[in-house]
Amino acid sequence: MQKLMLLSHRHPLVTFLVLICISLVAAMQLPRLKIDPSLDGLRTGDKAAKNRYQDAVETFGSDKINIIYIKDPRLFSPEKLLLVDELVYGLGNISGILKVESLFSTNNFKNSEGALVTGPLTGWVPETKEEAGQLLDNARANPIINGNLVSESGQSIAVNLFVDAKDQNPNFYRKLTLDIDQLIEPVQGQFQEIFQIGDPYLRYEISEMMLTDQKNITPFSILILFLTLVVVTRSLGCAALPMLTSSTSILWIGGFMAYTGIPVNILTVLIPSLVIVIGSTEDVHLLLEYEEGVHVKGTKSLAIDWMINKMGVVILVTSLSTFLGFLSICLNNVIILKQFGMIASFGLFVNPLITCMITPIYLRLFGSNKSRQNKVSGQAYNPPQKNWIDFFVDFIAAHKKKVLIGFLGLTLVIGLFGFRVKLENDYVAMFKKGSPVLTRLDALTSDFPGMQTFFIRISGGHKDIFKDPENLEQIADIQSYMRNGNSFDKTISLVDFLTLIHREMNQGDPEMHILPATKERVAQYLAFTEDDDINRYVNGDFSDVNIMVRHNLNSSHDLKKALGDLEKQIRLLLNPHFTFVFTGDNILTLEGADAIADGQAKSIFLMLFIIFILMSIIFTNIKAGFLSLVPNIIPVAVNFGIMGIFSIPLNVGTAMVSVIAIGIAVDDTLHFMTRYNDEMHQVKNQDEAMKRCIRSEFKVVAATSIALSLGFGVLAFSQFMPIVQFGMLSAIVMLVAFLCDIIVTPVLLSSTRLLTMWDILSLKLRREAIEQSEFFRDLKMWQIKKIVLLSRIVTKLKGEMIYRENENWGTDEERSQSMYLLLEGNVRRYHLQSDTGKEVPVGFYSPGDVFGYIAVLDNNSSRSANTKALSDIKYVEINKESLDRLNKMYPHIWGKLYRNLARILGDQLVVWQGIFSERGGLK
Amino acid sequence: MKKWTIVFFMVLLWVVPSSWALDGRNIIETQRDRHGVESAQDYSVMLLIDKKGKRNVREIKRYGKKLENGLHRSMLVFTLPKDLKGTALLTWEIAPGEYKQWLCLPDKKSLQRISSQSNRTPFMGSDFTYEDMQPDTLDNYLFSSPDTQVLDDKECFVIDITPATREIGKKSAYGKRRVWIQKDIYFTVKIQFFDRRNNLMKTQTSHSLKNSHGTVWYAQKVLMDNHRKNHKTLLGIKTKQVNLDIADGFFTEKTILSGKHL
Repeated sequence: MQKLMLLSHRHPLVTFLVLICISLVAAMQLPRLKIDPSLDGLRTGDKAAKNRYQDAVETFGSDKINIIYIKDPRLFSPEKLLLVDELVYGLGNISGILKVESLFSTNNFKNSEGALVTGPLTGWVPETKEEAGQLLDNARANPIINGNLVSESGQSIAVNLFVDAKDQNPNFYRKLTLDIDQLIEPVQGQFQEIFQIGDPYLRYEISEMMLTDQKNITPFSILILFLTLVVVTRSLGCAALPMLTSSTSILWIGGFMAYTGIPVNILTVLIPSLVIVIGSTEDVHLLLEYEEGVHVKGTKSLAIDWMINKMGVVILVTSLSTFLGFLSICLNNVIILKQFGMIASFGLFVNPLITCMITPIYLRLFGSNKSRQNKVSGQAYNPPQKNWIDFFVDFIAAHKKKVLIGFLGLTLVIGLFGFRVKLENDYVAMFKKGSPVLTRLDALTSDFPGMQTFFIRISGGHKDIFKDPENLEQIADIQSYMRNGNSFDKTISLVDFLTLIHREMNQGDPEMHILPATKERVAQYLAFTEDDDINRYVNGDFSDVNIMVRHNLNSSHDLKKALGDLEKQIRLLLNPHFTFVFTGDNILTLEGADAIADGQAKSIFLMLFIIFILMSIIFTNIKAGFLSLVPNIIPVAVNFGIMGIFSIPLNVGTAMVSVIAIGIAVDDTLHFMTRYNDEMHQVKNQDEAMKRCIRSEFKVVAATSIALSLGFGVLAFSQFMPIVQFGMLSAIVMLVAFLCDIIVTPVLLSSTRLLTMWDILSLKLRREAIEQSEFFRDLKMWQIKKIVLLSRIVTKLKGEMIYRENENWGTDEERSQSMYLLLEGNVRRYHLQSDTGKEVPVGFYSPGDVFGYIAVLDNNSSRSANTKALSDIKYVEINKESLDRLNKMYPHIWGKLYRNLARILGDQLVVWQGIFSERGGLK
Repeated sequence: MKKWTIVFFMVLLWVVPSSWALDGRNIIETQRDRHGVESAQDYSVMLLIDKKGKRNVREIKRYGKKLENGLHRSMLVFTLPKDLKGTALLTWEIAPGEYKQWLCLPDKKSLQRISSQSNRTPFMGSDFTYEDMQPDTLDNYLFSSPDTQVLDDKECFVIDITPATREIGKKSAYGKRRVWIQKDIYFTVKIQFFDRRNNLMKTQTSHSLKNSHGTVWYAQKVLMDNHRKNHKTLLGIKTKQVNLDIADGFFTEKTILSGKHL
């Protein structure tokens, strides 16, 4: 990122041309961009399950049904039925409708005064009240029709439209729905209630809702972002930068989607808003750093250099973590989530690149030359008077343990509610309460079975096996179990036709509403049926049967439980040599629910693992890796807790919250940790560093968190329930992450000392001084750098004192407990003659030498001589606390260091022994 | 003078064709007269082909007789497949245009009467309805003036047949039938069936025409193509005998229950 920004800063024209070229290529792809309003994406990519479903559709026909619901107190009157008949006729002529199932098309079978009546329930629209009443009676007497096409009350009827599931034309469902509406419209006032509902209609509604979302949410996101930026940067000009980077990113994303064939769907439609909101945080950090650069360096160009230098690595790491957060969503097998993960991660991969390319050019052209007085960030931040942030900081510092325990305890309590979270992958749950779709569904299910459908396909393995009453009896038992339970509304199978015919062949005797006794009789009864009647329930050679199930379990959790129970029961009832499978659009979508949970777990663990590895590398310390996880796990726990408390399910929307939250929240953690690291270099006191860190980062992190929270909050205006839940939860989680970052992160950090990888890489030490130092013997350069960085590098001018003779050890003076390693220049050790005050040299130190080490070994003595710089010097001041930290963080290095120190002491002892012997030893 | 000559020829042009030509009903009557037999028996194969191309084969025997009072009786018996063997449909014309039908399932000890309301129902899974297998009473229908069309290089009369009254129409599945009658032999070679909204439902075509005797012809193959259901039924006549001596008592419950119909 640093190099990219430098390239852009040095070669703006080339960078600009590259940006334009890529943008043009992306724009050229846009016409190929597809919109997919289907719900197929809620399924998994499980090919075997998909093939099973396709085979079932091929064998038994489409399970996609649009239902026309008609209700009126005088429905069974000649006038109203004539209107229905006209409507049904019109519906049959609509392209894409394979079959219209209604009172006027369904075959009946009944015994009337000893004669068998077969054929259409009515071939002619009733012309008298009596005829209409007779039609109603006939319909009610037929268990296949009753409750399926006509309600018990006789005040409502359903017309089932079987829709061609193979039609892949994106406009198919729109045209179909509008064609149906066009027929309904003229008779709307003629009935108390008339509407269409069903899978195809939902697809249309979803595509309309997507367009509405796109129209409303994206501009709203832009507005929120713009206002937040204006507030944070207090500059309209600076607020324009994120708009520029976001819009370029969205163009590239659109091109990428068109190129890869990934369509705009209910999730990918959100990506522009997310890129605007999330992508802008980097812009804010860059702009604020630029502001500081202007303040510190004075000129625009130098300020850009300052910004690049300060932010290059940080942006790289934060972008990487956000990118990986979104990429980890691809681990999910649910197609729509996989597609979202791919596009969002692409967007958040290119957005920082675009930001790094555009920002230097933009600042060069439009950046301010003036710095504002009240900076919101920076090391030089010194509030004129104590404000509430300082009180907050002091409170945190004074009650570190209590605050931490309280925070973790609260998280634990809330997090425990997470065990109540249920899985949800049902498309009905996409709609908000009170939406027209749910209102229609409620009306439908008050009279008819739910619109959700699936098949139970049972394979016997042999031709004509399901002409045998013994085998059909098992199907009847399964249906009976389902009928007696509360989960499923209606089942229809071949058995229903055979039992009906058998009853009517026996003068309508209810006792005979059973299967016939012989295989031959089954075959003879089947001859009464038409292919159209039964081919949805049995295959051509009678080796497979199909039970069509209608239900209103609009919750994956409930459906899964019901299917689990049903599966157990079927295993008990069915011949063990038979196989069975639940299949249908409904089942594929349900399988997606498991995949959501599985993918969620994988994504979260992968994300946390990546953060752990990244942070451990960046801060060269496993403890830092663990510490960085805490403020990121807390929002996840709170997220699940809130979901549990408010019964928000884990669905395609909410499944994204945790990983996205981690991916974004870790940015602030990283900003905090690097700031803390900087502060530690300055103050060498963990508590003070913590306070300074909170003070300096508070407003920036607050601003970005609020911007993100508001940005996600905008999604609450979405038409889709999972998106609303995703938006609301993400907004809350962003604020929780913010609290974690300003409370938990600093408190945890104050117990440690950090070193960043770039500290180590950027530290330049004179190789001669290091190589000739006994203190660093057997230590590698990176280990030496760690020691140096955990200590303090001090420069002094010629003649300045380092420490004085008899200076008390154990005082508060930090340097009084320090030892020194000379890096550059020379130092003289001397005594002062008590009478003349003349300096008597007792030793000289050159680069690589250590001195004053007794102070770190013994607290109860005082300095035995003075030390003074003979030239301009640079040395490392290593105090006791630094060594203790070294012991905690890198015990291996600490061990080597103490061994070297012991060796130096040993050498000194030998030298002093020699001197002592030359002077005659003890007398 | 010229003026009057033109008027004369114009009048002639209008008047002559209508007086010389047969109307629709006449043609249908002629067709009936030519091909009508006193009794008949055939042995046929019924091939059912569904929309996926799956085939089901059934074999049937058909018996028919015109009684002395001019009313018809017929019997249709399944001989294959095994599980349908013995299933029979007995039809009595009880008054011109009025029928009674009974169904016999082999292991059942009595016949099951079929309601006349079942006219529109496809017969035993085929694309022929009970109505299709009953002779029409001409008074119940209206016949259009014939048109002429060439079908398979043969000139045909094309006549539209519609129910004469609303009541008759309500009993039928069809709002209209359009028939093609080959002019040279007065044989119906094609029928299109339309619903009451004049939408084409199915088409029946006759193939491999064979002269039985004299003016009597029959089709060795009859195909019924159900356009709505994308289903076809092909009826192939293996053997056909006409004017046999079939006793009136053959068309009774007794014959069926005793198994003599097989």
